[in-house]
Amino acid sequence: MNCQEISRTLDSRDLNALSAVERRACEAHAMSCPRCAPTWVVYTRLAAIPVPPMPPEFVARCEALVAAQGRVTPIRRAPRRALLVGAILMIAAAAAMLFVQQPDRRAVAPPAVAPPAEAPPTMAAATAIDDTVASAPPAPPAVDPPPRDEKAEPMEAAVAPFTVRVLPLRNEVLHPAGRKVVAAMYAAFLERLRAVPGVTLLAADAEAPGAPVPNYRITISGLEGFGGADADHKFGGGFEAEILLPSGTVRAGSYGSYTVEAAPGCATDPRAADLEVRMITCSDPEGVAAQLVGSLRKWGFPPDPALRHTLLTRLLDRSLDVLQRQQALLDLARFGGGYSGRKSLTQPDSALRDPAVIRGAVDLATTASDPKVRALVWTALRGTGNTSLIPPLLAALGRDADSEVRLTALGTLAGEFGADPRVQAAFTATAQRDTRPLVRALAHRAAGGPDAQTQWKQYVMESLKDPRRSPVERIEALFSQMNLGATSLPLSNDGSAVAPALDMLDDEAIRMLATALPGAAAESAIVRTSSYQLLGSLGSVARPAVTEMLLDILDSGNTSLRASTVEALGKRANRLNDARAYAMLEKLADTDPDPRMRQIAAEALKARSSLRAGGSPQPFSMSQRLGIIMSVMEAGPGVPDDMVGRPVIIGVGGPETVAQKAGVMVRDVLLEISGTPVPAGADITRMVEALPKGVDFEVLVWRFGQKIRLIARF
Amino acid sequence: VRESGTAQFNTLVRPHLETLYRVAYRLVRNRADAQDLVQDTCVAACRNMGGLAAADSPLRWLLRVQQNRFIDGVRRKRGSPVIAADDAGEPALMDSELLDPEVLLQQSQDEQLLEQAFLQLEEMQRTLLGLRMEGYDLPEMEAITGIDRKVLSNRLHRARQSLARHLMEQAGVAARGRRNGSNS
Repeated sequence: MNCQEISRTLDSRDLNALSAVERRACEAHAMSCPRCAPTWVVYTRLAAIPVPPMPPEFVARCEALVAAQGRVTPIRRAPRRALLVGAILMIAAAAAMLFVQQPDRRAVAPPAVAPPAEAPPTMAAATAIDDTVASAPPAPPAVDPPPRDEKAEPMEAAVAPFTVRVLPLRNEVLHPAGRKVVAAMYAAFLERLRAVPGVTLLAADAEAPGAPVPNYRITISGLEGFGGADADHKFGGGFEAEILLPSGTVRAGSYGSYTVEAAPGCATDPRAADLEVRMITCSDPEGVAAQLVGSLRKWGFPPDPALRHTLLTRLLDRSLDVLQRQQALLDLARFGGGYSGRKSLTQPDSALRDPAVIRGAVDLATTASDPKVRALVWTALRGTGNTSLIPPLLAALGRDADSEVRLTALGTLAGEFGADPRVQAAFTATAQRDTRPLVRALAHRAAGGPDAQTQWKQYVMESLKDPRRSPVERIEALFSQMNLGATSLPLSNDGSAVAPALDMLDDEAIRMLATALPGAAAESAIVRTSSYQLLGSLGSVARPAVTEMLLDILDSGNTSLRASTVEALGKRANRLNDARAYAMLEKLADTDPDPRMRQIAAEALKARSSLRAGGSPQPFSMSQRLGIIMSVMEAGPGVPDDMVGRPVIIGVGGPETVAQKAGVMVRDVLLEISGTPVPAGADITRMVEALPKGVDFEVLVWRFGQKIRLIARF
Repeated sequence: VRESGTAQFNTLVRPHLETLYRVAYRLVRNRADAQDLVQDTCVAACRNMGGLAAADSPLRWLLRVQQNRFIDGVRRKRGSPVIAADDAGEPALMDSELLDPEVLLQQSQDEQLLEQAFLQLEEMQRTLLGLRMEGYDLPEMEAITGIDRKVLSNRLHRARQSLARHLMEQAGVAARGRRNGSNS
């Protein structure tokens, strides 16, 4: 859903006839888009105010009035008796009113609302999308807890007492009235916390010797800035949270920001699992849930998979923000062993085996207006083997307007359900009908048959050699063979997929790679980063044509591409004892105009001499060990304007990469590396290479509205 | 067969009274004014029964009459026939004054505030939103108002934005009123 679609819906659709899914998509967008919020939120509320029924005697009154006018222009000729019969008619009409039928409101247009008799309830429900969006004003802290989800009660038997340090209230609300409200809520919260058995409450300054060490501290702070027209409203908004402790439940009402964080050293406390923040009710439950998930992510998810699962599933199911839902799904996939590890999800506790998760994911994949989200969902669901996915996947393959989504659906179908006859039929149909050649070729391969492999191989080579195609089109088949396709899958960076893919190609095709790669890298950020990966893996492919191809790229590539090429030549010189690579390195180290190339070449030569002296091979490629794929943040729901255009992570490498160890996640926007701001279009690799090795450095990222500091180390 | 004015009324107007009333209520937000407006429309219709009978769609014709009566009425009440051009209307919201969805949602809970905000709108904006709220889509609204649907779409958008802005203003006024009340 985007701004235009919201406008279109508001202009032309019967809002009462929207499906729950459509409505949710609209709400999701509107609540995250300050431009659409006014047009959606206020208007739908107003439209939902019921029109009181017309008084029954009104028809008679009108009729009498008309009669009394006596100036009615007749269609054929003017009646003069109108005035005379007015009084009689009035009485007659009043009597007849009992039998007057409801006028047919469909004469011109389908009604937006139900007939008057049913109007009030229907209209009251018109914008109450579902219970999660009921958008009641924030409840005061003393209200009874809402009914809770039964399955979310895994901690009945917890025993350990909890020691909580409550920090003093940071009441930053300027207006006295607002300050008073926040202070009252804080007091109410403390009172409730004290009443929970098993909880020891520490004063903020309790440092007496022998005093218990706090496990957790809880901070509530009032926050203004909701932009009300009047100072009284600046403390508006807010939410209510419920904290489940081992021995009971604490509900807290709070305006403004609310954080739960582990006291230093407690993140490793096994009892961390016992503290969970879960059920939230407020005018924006998803926002708060997301905020809490964000807090939890900050210090790591609780180790208890059931709690984690509940929280994420709820977010996936209920969030109005499509990106939050996507992230929740990715988190679920990540913790279930799928997605980033790309291992099959065979673990018995895999989150993606939960039917609720599958439902949420399918809902996301079929309603998200952003094709990237749709594609990502189908990718994340790989490995589940759940046959209920087949129909929506087939629909995506056959009907999705975005060919990348069709490509992903095809990949998931081929990997999971290739043997299903429905899927086979769909492959055959797609191989003939799809508008994108790559989709047709892959479908043909997936459909199997005696010559499928040969034809695919043919297709990959023909694409590479075809000068009429764009560079990206020439290279995409090869990339998809290596699973380095344009979907934002994390890459395997061990190069194991590269050698078999290159084995498919004849020498000419390999050399043609040099003509396609620089252009494609310039055209697409994903291809660019994938290209570095590809080049970095070429050190062990023994074909001589590869060296020729690399030498060709040196003549045409951009700086980063050339740097990766020089690194690849270094590997070839050292590992494969490639004389031509070696000669080129010597030349580069002496004469290349770019000092960076000279430096990389010189390091490769140094490594070579150390190798000859009996040392171990030196690693070169920093970019590979960094383990990130970057792109540029695009505008979209939930993305503030100042994040658009900044470098964003779209893929994180395997478990041994710096990025994975530091906890970098897909969709993180890089803000600072070691205190240095990362400008749009920055060369991240170069920034990181400049840092001292073996020393921790800080990476500041933006993740779902929060700035998070990560610690990384080479 | 001789058709009296009342008979014509019964045939051409009466089936649509309910709809006229609903649309009128949407515009004026109270029963009495809504009934006045509909009656006014009925009288106007009587004066031009020929035009009504010749119309492709009597309801569309009536709605247009009602719209004109409404706009005229508001202008009369204001004591000035001059009105800011609809096109000029109110400027679109600037980025700097984008409204927080949370706050909007909260303010929208108060139906009275919402209706007051609506009544602050220009009469044409009220007309368009009123029709839209009753389920008429752009082609139908084009037929009723005679305004091109692209222009309509723009005006609807602007009207919705103005509505939100007035709501925030209303909310501010209401809060001040409460405060003053409690102080005195």
